[in-house]
Order: sequence, then structure tokens, then C-alpha cells
Amino acid sequence: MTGTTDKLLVTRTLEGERNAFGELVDRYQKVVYNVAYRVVGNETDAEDVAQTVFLKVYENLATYNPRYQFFSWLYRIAVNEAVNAKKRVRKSVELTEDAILTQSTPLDGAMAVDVENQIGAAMMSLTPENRAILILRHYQEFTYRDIAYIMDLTEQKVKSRLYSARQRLGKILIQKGLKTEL
Amino acid sequence: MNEQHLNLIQAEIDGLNSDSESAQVRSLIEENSELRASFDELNAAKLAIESLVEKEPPPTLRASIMNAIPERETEHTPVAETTSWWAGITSIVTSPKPVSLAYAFSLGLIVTFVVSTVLMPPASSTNTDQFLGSIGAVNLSGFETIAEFAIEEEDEEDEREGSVKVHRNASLIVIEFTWDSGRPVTATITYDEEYLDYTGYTGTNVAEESSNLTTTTEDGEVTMSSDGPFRHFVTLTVRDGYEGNDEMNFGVTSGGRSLLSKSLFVRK
Repeated sequence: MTGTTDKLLVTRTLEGERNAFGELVDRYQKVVYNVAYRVVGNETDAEDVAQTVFLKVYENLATYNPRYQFFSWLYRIAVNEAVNAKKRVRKSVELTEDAILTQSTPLDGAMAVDVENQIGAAMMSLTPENRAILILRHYQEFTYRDIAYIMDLTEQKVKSRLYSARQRLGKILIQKGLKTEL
Repeated sequence: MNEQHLNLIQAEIDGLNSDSESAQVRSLIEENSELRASFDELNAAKLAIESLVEKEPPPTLRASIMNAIPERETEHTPVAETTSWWAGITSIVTSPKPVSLAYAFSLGLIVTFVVSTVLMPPASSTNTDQFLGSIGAVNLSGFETIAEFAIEEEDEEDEREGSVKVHRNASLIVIEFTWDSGRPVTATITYDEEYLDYTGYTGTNVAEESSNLTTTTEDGEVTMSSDGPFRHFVTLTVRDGYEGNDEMNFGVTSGGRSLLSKSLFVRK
């Protein structure tokens, strides 16, 4: 890594240097926002989650253990916050697999295909935890071991959850005819 | 289709197979339509997620974060054992205005805690001595140790094998587990997710190679299992709007025997 290391920025933040924390925000706001967006499924909630994540990071910085990578610790908080945020609003909107499969969508209109939205809609039929695990593996390219740390699971549990999440999402995508679009 | 086949397919999707294993997967999915279907499903999911476009965060996000964070105390001097609570209050009164306001709020929480501690019988044995300095990499300056439980055999009071300490600083609760014995142990914290929010943990294996510490969290329960000595810190945050009627439960078992079962009311 070039420039100041994350751990040094953490130390400087703890010493009261706000700009050091600002640099951490600059480095990680995009990844935190994207993880949040893919878990909660909309921009407004993703922004709220991202802001809450950084506030929690700031408040809990004194408990950060430098044995671990800062970004892994940050991801732990981000995934936890995004999953919990989604659980809190679960009662409002939660699409079922059947609803996804029977929805009339832009995919049905040949030219107005919005694959991105279709994938996003299919993902929303998974549990927030399973969305998070797929994003960590395929979007952020974390190893099983990293994911185990971030999600507080054993590596074996990571593998089994990854399998079931991919299988469920894959079934929906194939039934929607999205496979050929990829 | 057996577990070995599924593991091979999953490893293939994740790009973890050797050349010979990849050849084996290709052969398997050519010969077995069930495996082929399974491979296609997993691969479709992988490709779909990889195709997602990265989104730019709102341009105002950084500013809203930086505006929301409070000023941080610049000094992390460990609290001296002889420092009186009154001295703490007088220093708050002389702080700059934003800091004073923040501390005034914290002071309200502390006063509430002190009053409720006096007025209500303790749910368990408590140790209100102030905690000094840091443990390992976890800086607990500013925290108060509100409870301490010994982990020991019921019939052998001198056989202390570890402890559970609960530290608190405003809405932040840090639970410190220490296990000194070489025996395997499982420690559990349960709490109501509606009131308390699991924030994370930091672990310090005393004997890392042999202890094999694992931590899992699920639905208001944090479970730590270790083959030997460890020290571990779990952080919970009291949610906004909490009215102060919930309790945390701590349990420790080793070799099928319960060594600790305690409850602690969490004040507002």
C-alpha cells in the first residue's frame, strides 16, 4: 500500500486528528457504500448504513485490534450493520422467490432489458446474510477465511452458505433466462 | 452427486482447483446432467454478481460522515485509581462547549446508572472499581468496569479458572472473557437484539497455536469456543431508545459442566 497505512491513520485518529479519519473515509466509503447497497437494495438506506458504519468505526476505534487488517474489521461492522438494517425493515418489503419469478419486468420486453436490475431483484430474494456472503466472495473477492472472520462464521459454514446462496440465486437467474445474457 | 463432487464444483467456481481437478470437474459435468445443472446454477450466480456495476457513493456522504462524528478526546491517559468522580465532573464543566455538551449527556447516563445502582438491588455481584489503562490491544481508558464474575468450579471456590468482566462507556459495552485453563471451554453471551447491537470482537489467544478459538454470532447470541487459554473482547452497543429493562446472560461450560451462569441488567 502506498502512502500512510491504515493502522497509522487509526492511531492518528485516536490522537484526535480528524483529518486522519477523513482519509480513512476517503479510502473506504465506496466499498462500504457498495456492500451496503447490495445488501439493503436501495440507495437511501445504503447511504444511511454507510454513515452509521463510519460513525460506529469512529466510536469503537479504541477497540480495534491491530492484529487484524483494518479493512477486514471495517467490513465486519459494515456487513453487520447492513444485515441488521435490512432485518429492521424486512417487514416492509421482502420479495419472495415466487414473486421474483412471476414479476413482469423489463426483461420481458426484449429491448428494455436491464440485467443489472434483474440481478438486483433476484438477489433480494435471498436472506441479507446470503447476499452479503455472495458480495464478499464475488464482488469484493475475499477468501473463505476472510469471509469467516468478517461474518463470524467457520470456514466450513462459509462454504455451505456460499453453496446454498449461489444455488438459489442461480436457479432464479436461469429460470428468468438471464444466464444467456451473462 | 455426492459431497466430494459438490466440493469440487464449488472449488471450480471459486477458481481453487488444480488443473487435474478442473479436468475432473469437466468430465463429471459432461457425464452427469444433475452435476451439470448444479454447475450451471452456481456459475450463473457467480457471473451475475461479477457483472454488477460498482456504484458511486453520493457526493455528500463524506461530508455527512465528518459532520456527524464528535470531537475526540486527544488524551488517552489511563484513569488513576485515586481519581475521584467529582474531579471528572469539574473537568467536564471546564471543557470547550461541544465537549461539555457531549459529556453532559454522558454524565446524565452516568448519574442514571449510579442512581439505579443505588436504588435497585444488583442482579449479580458487581465490581465498580475503575478499570485502568489497556488490555492487550484494546484500549479501555474511559470505560468503567460495571461487573466481574469469576469462572470457577462450584465446589472449589479457590479454583478460579477465568473471569468475565463487563466494561461500559456510555452506550458502548465491552465484555472481556478470560480463560486461563488448558481445558476446552465454551462461553456464551445472550442478549436481546432489539436493545443491544452486536458491534464486533477482538480476540487475543494466550496460546494461539493450541487454543483454536472460534467465535460465532447469531440472533442475539455470541458463542466463543476454545481448546485452551484465551482472552476475548466482545463489543455491544446500546440502541437508541432503550428503556433499561433488559438483561444480558453469561454462561460458561467446560467438559459438560456449567462453571458460570449469571445475568446482568443493562441500565439505560
